[in-house]
This record gives sequence, C-alpha cells and structure tokens, in this order.
Amino acid sequence: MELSYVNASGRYEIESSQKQVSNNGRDIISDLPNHIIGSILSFLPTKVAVRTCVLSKRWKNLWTFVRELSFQDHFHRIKIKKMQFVQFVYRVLRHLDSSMIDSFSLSLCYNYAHIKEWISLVLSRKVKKVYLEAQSKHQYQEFPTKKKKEFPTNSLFECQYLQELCLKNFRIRLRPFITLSSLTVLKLSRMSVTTTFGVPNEPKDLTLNFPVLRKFETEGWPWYHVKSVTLQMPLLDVLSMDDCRYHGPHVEINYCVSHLIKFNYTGRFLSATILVDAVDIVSANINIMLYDGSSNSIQEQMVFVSKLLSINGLNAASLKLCLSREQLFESVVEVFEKVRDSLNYIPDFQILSHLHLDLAPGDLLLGILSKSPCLETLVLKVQDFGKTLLDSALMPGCFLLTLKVVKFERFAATTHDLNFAEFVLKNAVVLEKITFSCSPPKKLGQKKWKKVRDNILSYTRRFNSLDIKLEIVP
Amino acid sequence: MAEEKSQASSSKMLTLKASDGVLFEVELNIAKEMKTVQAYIDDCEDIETIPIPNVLGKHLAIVIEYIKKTNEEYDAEFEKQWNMDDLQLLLLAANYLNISGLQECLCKAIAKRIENKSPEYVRKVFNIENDHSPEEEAKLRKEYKWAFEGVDKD
Repeated sequence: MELSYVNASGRYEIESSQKQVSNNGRDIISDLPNHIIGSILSFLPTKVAVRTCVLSKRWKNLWTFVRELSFQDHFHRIKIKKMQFVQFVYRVLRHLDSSMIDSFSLSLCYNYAHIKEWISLVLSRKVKKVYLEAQSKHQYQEFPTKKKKEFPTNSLFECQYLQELCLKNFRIRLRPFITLSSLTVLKLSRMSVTTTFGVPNEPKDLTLNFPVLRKFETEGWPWYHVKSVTLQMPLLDVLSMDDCRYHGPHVEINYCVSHLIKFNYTGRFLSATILVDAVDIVSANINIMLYDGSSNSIQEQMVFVSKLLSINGLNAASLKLCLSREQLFESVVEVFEKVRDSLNYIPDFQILSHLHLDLAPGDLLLGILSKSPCLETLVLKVQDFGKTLLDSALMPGCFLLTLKVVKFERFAATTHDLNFAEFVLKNAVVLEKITFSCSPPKKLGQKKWKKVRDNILSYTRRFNSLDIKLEIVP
Repeated sequence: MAEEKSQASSSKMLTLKASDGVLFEVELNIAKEMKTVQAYIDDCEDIETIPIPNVLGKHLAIVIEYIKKTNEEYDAEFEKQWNMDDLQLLLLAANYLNISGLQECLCKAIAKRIENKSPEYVRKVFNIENDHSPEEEAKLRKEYKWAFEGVDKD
C-alpha cells in the first residue's frame, strides 16, 4: 500500500508503507507548512523562536512566521547586555515588517525611551493585544508614583483596533476623554493614571469609554490626581479591583456597567466613593482588611463597607463578604471594639448571605450577625467567646430563619471555639451543616477529637438532620 | 437551531478509511469538525466512505477521540500521553484534516517541549540535519546575539 502526500515545498511524494512504522531518522517537522511552524514558534518566547534560525537552512527564516511576540529583559550588571536587548528587539521588529502580528508582550528593566518607537512599529502591524511591564527589583512593593517610569506614548490609547491591553508599573498621562472601540480586556496593574501630573494643576475629570469591554481588572489603585473617573463599559462581564488602597483627596469612581457576571473588591478602606451602576451582578466577592489607622476611623471604614454592600444590582444569592484585620501592634480587641460601636450607625446588611470573619471577638461577631438578617453561610475563626457571652447573648435573627452552614476555620477546640459551637448548635434552628476545619500541626488526635465530638453532640438533639464534619486541611 | 439540525442528522453515520485500511464509523457531526471531510461531503453528498490517505488508523483514532472529548480539562492532559514523534504525526494529521482546535493544542504541546532547549537538542529531537556552514551559523548567532544567551544545559 502506498501513501502519497504533498510536502511543504509542493513536491508530490510517495512513501511505501514500511517506512510509516516509525519516524526513525525522519525529519517530519521541517516538512510542515510554514504557517504551522509559525504557530508552534508563536507559543515560545521570541528569544527562543529566533534561535531556531540556526537549526538548518530551511529553518533560517521560519521564525518570521510567528504571530505572537514576547520579549523579557533581565537585570544585568554589564552595560553592553542592556544594549544587546534593544538591538535584538529592533532587529526582530524590522525583520517582520511585512508580517501580521497578533500580540506583543514586553517586559522591560531599562531602555524605556525605546518603547515609543517599538509601539509605533507594532501598531503598524495591526497588533491586537499588547502587554507592557516595567519590572521592578522589589517584587512586592509598589513604587510611589514619582518613581514609576513615565509611559512615553499615548498611541495605545488612540488605537481603535486594539483588543487587549495590559500595563504594569508605569505612570501615564491621558487626555480627559478616551474611547477605545475594540477593546475587550483591560488590565491596569500598579499603574498611576492621570490627566495631569500634580500641583499646581487642578485635578480633572477623566472619562473612559470602552463600548465592548468584557473584562476590567486593576491591581493597586490606578487613579492619580484626578477629580473623578467615569468608565462607560456597557458590555462588561468582569469587574475586579485588587489590593485597593488610597488615601489622597476624595475621588469618585463611576462604573457605568449593565449586567456583571463577577464583581470583586479586595483591599482596604478608600478615601473614594465607588459607584457601580449595574442592573444585576451574578456573583460578588468583597474582601476588606480593616485597620486602626489614625487617618481613618473605624466608623468611616464600616460606612465604606456598608456602601459597598449596597451597590446596585447585588443580590442575596451571590454576595460574599470577608472582613479581616491588619496585623498591628494594637490588640485586635481594641480595633474591633471600635467596629462594634460603629455598627450602630450603619444600616443592616440586607442582602448579605455569605460572611467570612477572620479573628472576630465575640461581641463584634454577634454585632455583625445581628446586622445580617439573611445570612446563610458563616465561615469564621473565633477569637474569643466567653461564657458570659454564651449565657447572655441575644440570638441573632438569621439564626432563626436563614443560617444553614457554619464552618470553623483553624479550629483548635479551645474553650472559645466550643462556646461558640454550643451557641450555634443551640440556637441556629435551620442549620444543615457544621464543619470544623483544622490544619496541622494543630490537628486533634483521635482521642481528643472523640472527646470534642461528644461535647459538640451534647449541645444538640438534632443528630439526624444535621451534617457534622471534621476536616483536616493541609 | 444547530441542535435541531444535528438531531435529524446525528443518526447518520459516516465511514472514514485510514491510510492503512482501518475503518472508522463516526457520526456526521463529529466528522464535520474535520473541515477537509466537510468539504468532501459538500462536494459529493451521497458519499458513505471517505478515504483519508495521509493518516494512519492509529492516529485517526486519536483524532476522533479528541474531537469527541475536547474540553479545557481534556486538552490539558491530552498532550502528556504522546511522545514527540506521535505529536508531530498527529499535527500533520490535524493539519491535513483541518481541525483548528487540535492543531493549536498540538502546536502548544510541541513548543512546550523545546522551550528552553539548545539548538543542538532541538535538532536531535526533530532529526533536523544542520546544513549551515560554520560561518553562516556564526553569523546568525552574532546577528541575534541576545537570543543566544542563557540556554539550558542539555
């Protein structure tokens, strides 16, 4: 039986079936069409793709069929190496002058002045996705704005066919009104975005119009010296604000969205008002780190939390709130005493159904529970819950009607843990599941767990309808 | 609407004949994922057996299984089962049959396996004969000097 095929050079070849048994000695890959080899090389960093030019004569220019470019520089001690990187990028871009490039990714340590020219070369290839990063030696520290490198060109924010843009670690000055009509993904990571850099210029309003944007993510607080920011993103699915912290003059951030699938806020109190104009939000995750700083009272922080919880479109089924506290010199108790007091001034958390509390003292815990009439799931690490509290506390409304699942994290079977477990088991009438989660090396031995389990079971008579579980988490 | 269509035609089976004579009976909607086969059907509507002269039975079986099972999880595990030789032959098959999802999966898998390797290693793995003269090779290494820094030891 014969196998016939046409190889990449267009020649018709016939192979006898015996040779098909194995590839031994056959160079199959070089016979693949150029664009397929280009596809393979596109998955590699450009540095590696270009190296294939020395494989053989056939491979000399195969790397030019790549459609994705990525360049990562490293920190060097030797000056000449910094220049070699620049040289390399220019040579590659010029060699590809007739190609279509789909994506361009650049991670720089030096030579920021060349960004302008590189972007210009790449935009003329109708690039769709651009990722630019200024590497910092200190990985976990965010630079203050003055130390961030200034992004030397605005052409990216004028490119109407750009679909994805991710920028990291720059400061950039934009015109007050920006539209990007094809952008579907935008990520601003450790950025400082402004319309004007600083005093004595008055901060201005910034309007960003992204009619087809699906995903907007920020890491760190990106807005610098602005009066307000309005983002028009009617098709947005995912809105994610990570590691938010900001203490400047008050700003207002306006998200004009419609149907969000995912909303995430992680960070601290901001001296900012966040408005989200959504019709509905399918799932929301709000993760707030409270702290006792002199600049913002606990009350201010709790008001901020309650405002986030009253964002349009949030609904009971989807909201998860996690409150934790900053590692500080002051005792945790003091911080949360103030939180408890401030609870009197804010309205109930009408829609909160899933609450996660990290190290809450007993009375704060009770305070928040009383404010959450629809709570269904509670995950917590008990800080303290004394006998007096156990005996005298009023049962929160949610225990009567809605609380179904309780999970104890970092359970150590202390008196406090067990007191609260007793409180829950005696009062949570509609409870379906209670889980005690330990992580080694604090895990309970067999004997101790048996004793604890017996104790717990003694708090309730509803053994059959209640799912009680102990789990060890690695 | 696509669902209604496939309900009517999903019972229709097609036979694919690999290069070594092995026969595969597949549902029409599976076969249609292979754009080459789709073109064949469009040209001659009544055909029942389609010859696939460039692909061995062993590889056609793998391709058909991929089409049936492909999803994010499956794709992530898929490439781990095959050695480099098979990956290349599968890519040839996917290219001939014009199945874009499989092509991409295989390109990515092959790339992953040569990511930090030296040109010498890559030549060995692919059986590529180096027909550059030493001067030519030296010239290329100099032209793209930055690219040749910091390569893994084999």
